[in-house]
Amino acid sequence: MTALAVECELCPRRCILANYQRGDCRVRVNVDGTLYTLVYGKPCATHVDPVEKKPLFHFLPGTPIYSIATAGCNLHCKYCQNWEISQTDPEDARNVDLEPARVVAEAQRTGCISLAYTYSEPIIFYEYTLEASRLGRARGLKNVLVTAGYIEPAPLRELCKVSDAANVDLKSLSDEFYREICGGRLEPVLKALTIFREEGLWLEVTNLIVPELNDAPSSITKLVRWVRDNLGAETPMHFSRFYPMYKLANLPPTPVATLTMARNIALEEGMKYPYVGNVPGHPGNNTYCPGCGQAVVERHGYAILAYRLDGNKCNKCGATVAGLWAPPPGDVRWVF
Amino acid sequence: MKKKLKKTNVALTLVVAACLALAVYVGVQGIVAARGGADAADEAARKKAFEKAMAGGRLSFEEAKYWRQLEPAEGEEPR
Repeated sequence: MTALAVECELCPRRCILANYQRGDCRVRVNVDGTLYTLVYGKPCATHVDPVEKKPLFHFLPGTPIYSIATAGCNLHCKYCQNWEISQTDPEDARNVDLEPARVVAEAQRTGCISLAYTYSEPIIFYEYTLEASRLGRARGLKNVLVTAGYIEPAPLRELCKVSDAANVDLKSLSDEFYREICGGRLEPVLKALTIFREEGLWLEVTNLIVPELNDAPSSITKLVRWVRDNLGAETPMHFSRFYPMYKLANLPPTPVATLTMARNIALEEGMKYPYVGNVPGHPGNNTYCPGCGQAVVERHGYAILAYRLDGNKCNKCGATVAGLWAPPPGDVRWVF
Repeated sequence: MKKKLKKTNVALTLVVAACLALAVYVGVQGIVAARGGADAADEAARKKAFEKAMAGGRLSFEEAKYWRQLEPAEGEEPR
């Protein structure tokens, strides 16, 4: 006698699971013909972060965001910067009990106005993300997804209904890169990005630049052009510095010059808000007015040094700066 | 005499063919049984690992969204 196999329809892997078999994500299991999640209400990481750490630079800047993650991931990037939690079985992680209602309560207790589903991959703790987002929204909190976007369209659209913003890690515009370095495919990620845009979430894109793998100017140009043509020139792009990690610990950190080059390519291609990430103090940390070029938000890493917006307008020339901006907090402030 | 020998040959050939057919049948059944046994052993191992993981108390057990049951393969019976 054999129990029914099940097919997981959450992500493009479409894992087919025999009885008691887990999905590639490690956190979904078939038991007697029913698929269960093992990480609902069991985060292994909970922190209050600045929203800039996600990174989101045009979404309620300077505000704290309650951030959670569970173990597991449906991609297996050889350079994963959070591999200790993303590439481990959930039973081996230091989980805490935190039901969705308590996530919302903790966020409010700690003065956060948003929730972030982040660090590992919110898609694999989908049910937890969905319920916490519903409860959070009902209590006036914003919901932010920090994701690689490796998800099927139907569950993504359902999740978008209760989400406000996303930072999607577009790793490369090469399918070969996705297959060989990340163990996935490019096309579903591009589809997810267009769905985020269609569903009206505030969207920012991160591209972690890894030396020797995706740092060629032609690769960066191709990626920038796709973002510009499909998501719009006002989509903030974060070119982030890679640090040697996990299976690519043999590579050097990304040279700052490479990140500067990527940002310059984006500017030349007409992108309005390209940033350099993981390099505190770089001029590419700032938001510049697309009208007059004034630094409307000056940053040092995650900290805001100066804020020169009135609502969503540059206080010098009045040009609109895209994003969801918090009420002006004052001329200068430090956060965190 | 020749006719008798011919009859004997035919009879022997039939017996040998029947034996061969029986051997093949028994062999195939053995392979099928062994495979079924291996599947059962795999499932038992997975169940044991799952129960051990659950026993740690660090996991939830909530029904997931977005999945479907697959029809059992021909010859299989759903539990």
